[in-house]
Amino acid sequence: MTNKHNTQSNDDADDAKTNAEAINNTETPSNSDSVTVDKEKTIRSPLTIAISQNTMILALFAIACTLTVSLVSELTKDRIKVQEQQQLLNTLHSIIEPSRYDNDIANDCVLITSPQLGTDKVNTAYIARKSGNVVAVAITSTAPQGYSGNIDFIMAINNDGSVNGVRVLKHQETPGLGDKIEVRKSDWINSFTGKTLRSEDDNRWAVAKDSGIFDQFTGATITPRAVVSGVKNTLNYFNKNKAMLLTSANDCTSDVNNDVNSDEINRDTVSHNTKTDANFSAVQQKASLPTTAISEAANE
Amino acid sequence: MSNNIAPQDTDNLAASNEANTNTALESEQNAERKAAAKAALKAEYKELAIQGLWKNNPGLVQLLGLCPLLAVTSTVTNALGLGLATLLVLICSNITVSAIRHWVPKDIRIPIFVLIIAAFVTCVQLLMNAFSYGIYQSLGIFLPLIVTNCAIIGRAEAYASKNPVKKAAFDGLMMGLGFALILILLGVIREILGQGTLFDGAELLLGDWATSLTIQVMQLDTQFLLAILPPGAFIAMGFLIALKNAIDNYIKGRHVEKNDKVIERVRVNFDS
Repeated sequence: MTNKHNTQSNDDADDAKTNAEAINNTETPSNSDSVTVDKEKTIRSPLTIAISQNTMILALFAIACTLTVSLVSELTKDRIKVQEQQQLLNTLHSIIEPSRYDNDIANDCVLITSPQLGTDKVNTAYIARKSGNVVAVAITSTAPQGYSGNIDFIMAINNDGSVNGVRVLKHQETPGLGDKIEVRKSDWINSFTGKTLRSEDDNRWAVAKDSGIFDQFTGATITPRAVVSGVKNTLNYFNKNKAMLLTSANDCTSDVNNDVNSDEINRDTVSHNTKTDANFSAVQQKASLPTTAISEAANE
Repeated sequence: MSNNIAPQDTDNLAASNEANTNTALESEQNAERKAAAKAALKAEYKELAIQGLWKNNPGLVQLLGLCPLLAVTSTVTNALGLGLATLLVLICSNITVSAIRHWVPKDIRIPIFVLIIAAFVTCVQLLMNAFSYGIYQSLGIFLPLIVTNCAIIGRAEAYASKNPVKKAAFDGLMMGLGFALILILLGVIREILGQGTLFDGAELLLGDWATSLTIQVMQLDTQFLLAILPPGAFIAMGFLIALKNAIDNYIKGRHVEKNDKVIERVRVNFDS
């Protein structure tokens, strides 16, 4: 093979290479230099062609796959939004009876951050109103001292400061022991309903082992202890910041979909919307999550 | 199958004798060839089914995709959900990979396969998010992790990239079924031992009518923790593989005995 086979662009690239080599090997005679260049040209030209061809094909497939995914995403977008909203409403209905309010509770909320809520992430307070008057507030919160990590929960607090209901949203407690905080495993979580805090440091708010009014589970004291103190802290937060919560402007308009599990879900939708390699990176990102994901799935 | 062909052949022979023309002979030969090809095709499909469901089962023999297999099978519902999702992805990816096999250069086939699988998994994930939200939530991370299930890329590379679309689709179906069956079997074992129920939470996957599917097999005062946690899955999986090997050995043993009785010298010509 000779120079004839080379395309214009390859010649350019090779020229650059020749210059670089000339600088490196100033001492070598010029004729041997030209021989090596010729050799390289014959070796590299089919390679460059193959690379550019493969790049083209890969790019075509990437575009096709991206188009497919975006099409499906576009088709299912509304349905997914409805499902998420429905899920949120179901949770809210289980802690505030739907007959007690008449506003669109899922779209009437205040975003709050406070160390008292057990996390530095943004929490949401959904406000239930009946003909304009506030009836109850549902606050998402976290109990950080769970047996294996954070316990995320949502609780509804009536306007008079009493608890109307608590539901655990996400936890990694031991199945069979600590998971009795779930409403489908045990009705323990309902023991909060109707309770109030007498003072900021009400010592009745503890498990029976710590001479409080809430039962612990056989074989699991740490989990209920964590939930009780989490609920207590949230209640304290509400009592202190009630005025602020009730007068703040609405952060959830109907366009912005704020969800209970907003972190998780938003990350998902973002990875669906940013295209091409996003699928890969999203999967990799998820694959590198800590092993708690496995125990979490085992809990389900 | 050979029994079926034999009488046909004699019929054809008789017919050709009567007509006694070249054309009849040719058509007879064609028919014979077609019948043979059909039989071969049938045998190949049968072989594919046996490979996928038993001999080369992705869960029991290839031991691919163990991470979701062990993590998700705590209930039958979860197992069924993941099994169906994997089956769907496997069939779709096998079909696509097989359809494009002539246009994909050898050097970049793996990234393209991964790209295709990732696209299908994302589609399945979106669809499940939209139409069965409950199961989408309880499968959690393991739904997107189907991308990394080696069983899928393994089939794309080993079979679909070398065979026509129809066969690849059938192979995907059988491999997916084999995988789903193992998932469901593990789910049944673990759910009965752990919770004493079957199909708990089936309404999350199948809709509200499935609530009645939930069966209380036995009443357990406390849950059997080991069965619910991942170690229980490993142990149950071990027993399943042992059972499969025991059955294989039993069949092999009987086969050898039979052969010994019928043709005693079969072992002398041990070329193959």
